[in-house]
Amino acid sequence: MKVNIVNILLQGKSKLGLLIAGFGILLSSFLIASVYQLFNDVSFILDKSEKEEGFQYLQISKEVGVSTSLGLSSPDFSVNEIASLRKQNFIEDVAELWSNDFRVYGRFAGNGFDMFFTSVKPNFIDADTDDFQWEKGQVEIPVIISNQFLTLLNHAVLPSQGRPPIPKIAIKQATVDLQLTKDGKRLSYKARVVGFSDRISSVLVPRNFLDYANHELSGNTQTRVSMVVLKVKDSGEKTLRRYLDRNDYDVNGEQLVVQKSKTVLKITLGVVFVFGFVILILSMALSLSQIKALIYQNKDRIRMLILLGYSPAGIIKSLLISIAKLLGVIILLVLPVIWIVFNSVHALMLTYALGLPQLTIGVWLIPIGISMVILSGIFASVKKLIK
Amino acid sequence: MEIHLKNISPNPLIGAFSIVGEVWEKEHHFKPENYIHILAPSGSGKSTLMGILYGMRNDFKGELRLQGKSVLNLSQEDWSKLRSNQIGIVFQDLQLLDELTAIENIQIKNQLTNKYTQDEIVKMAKSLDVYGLLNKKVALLSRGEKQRIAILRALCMPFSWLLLDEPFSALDEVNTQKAIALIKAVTAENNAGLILSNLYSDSYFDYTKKVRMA
Repeated sequence: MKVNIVNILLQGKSKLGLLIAGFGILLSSFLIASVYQLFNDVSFILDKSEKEEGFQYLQISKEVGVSTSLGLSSPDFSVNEIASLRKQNFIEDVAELWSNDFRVYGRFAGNGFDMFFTSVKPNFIDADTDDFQWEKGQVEIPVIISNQFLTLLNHAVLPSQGRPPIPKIAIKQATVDLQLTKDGKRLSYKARVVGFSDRISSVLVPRNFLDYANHELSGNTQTRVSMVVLKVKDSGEKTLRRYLDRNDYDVNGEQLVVQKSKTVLKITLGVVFVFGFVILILSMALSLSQIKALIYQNKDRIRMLILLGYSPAGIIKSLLISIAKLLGVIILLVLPVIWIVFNSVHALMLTYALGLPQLTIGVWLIPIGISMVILSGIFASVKKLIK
Repeated sequence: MEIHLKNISPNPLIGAFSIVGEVWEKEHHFKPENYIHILAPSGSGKSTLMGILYGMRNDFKGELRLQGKSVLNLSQEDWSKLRSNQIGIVFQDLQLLDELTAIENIQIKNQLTNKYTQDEIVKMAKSLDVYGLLNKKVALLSRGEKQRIAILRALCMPFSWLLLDEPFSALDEVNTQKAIALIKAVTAENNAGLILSNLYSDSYFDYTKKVRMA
């Protein structure tokens, strides 16, 4: 027969306060761990294109109006306009997207289609550029295409023709026959996909090839710039947005939606985090006050236990073991709930082809860390009181 | 374990009365296995002396040494070890937990060292005629029954000294004799000494030394 001294201390005392504190710790641990995981998930989905830490990339073009259609103004960027972009202190770097000045006609598997080419300076390309080289006389042109094109091809074009989707590795093996023409001049090449870009919505070819083809077919020595890619710290910054609006520059719509969604989601997650943190602080304060009250109410019993030979350290240890068991139960409740919730969320993300982020170790460590902090706080408080 | 008292006088008693008797401000060596009788009229400070010997009070002048070590150098943890392994006590006010059963009160002490099995405790309880009370809440027991439970509890540990502060004050002659027999047996089993304080002179044990407090 073993008499539990903690039961003696709890005997005849209301446990409601301790239960509320325990529930608060459970809820706040879940909220904080969830915010942490959701933040990772959000970053995983929305920051995929932000390969370079801390920077975002905006692809802009000039707004097409009536005057542009009538040929009164150019849809291309002038040297002065690009120089002006470079001067803005909220823009880290600017890269021109140079365009073809000839018709590109491709044939693949018996189907013909019109295409376009662009070039950009290599440090703006978010794909492996080892094979992205061309030398004069080389028939095969390496190209980098946007991941968005691939998605459209596999999820819209091919299914509508009753064809199966093509994996990236197969696309890299295939070549497309190209006919480049202008004013009766003709050049024949083959194109091979060597990479995929999340950042630039275009078909990229090496700059020296584009300059060569433009010169050969159009006689132009100056390759025109139809679009520009901006490297910025914060694509949601007001001064940047005002500048783009004032100059009638169109920004790739998705990038803005992504930025707005990210901001809204992060603010929402921030609010949930603060909410969880407040509950945690209140629960910790409540649990500490409950433990203190328990000790004050049991002052005589604790004194008697000490007189019988129980050491203050032993009493504290017994109390902490009981509290640790309670916190252990809380952790055992929180972790499976998090596991179930996030597996459901991740299954949903897979359904929408958003990829599958992993449950991060932090999610498991947060409830354990919170319990350790609470236990340390209670230990310090109880030690002081019992002494 | 030898107990050495040298010129002890409790602070609250200083000036409250003229210090007389053979304890305060005197020197005593209580040798292991000694049976000491403290004869003390009411108010002369016998519970204070027990409190000092048991480490419950440190508001005294003079020197108290246990096995040559001054109690001033003992920590809380040291006292816990002494109270669970060296010095047993029957408090004058018993110090039982009313909300617990008699057996729980005994086990709280016994489980510190697991000195006795449940069967051995039952056997001792039978010898004091309190076996039938073991599962009753202490609050429901009479003073005499409580006193016997307190005696049982004090014996449920290894000890070299047993402090008894008016241990039989609520017992009749028959129950007193049964308690004395059990205490003698367990004290001998532990090769221990005892210090009994009482209001009157008695011959419960074969005392090695009798000391008057007033």
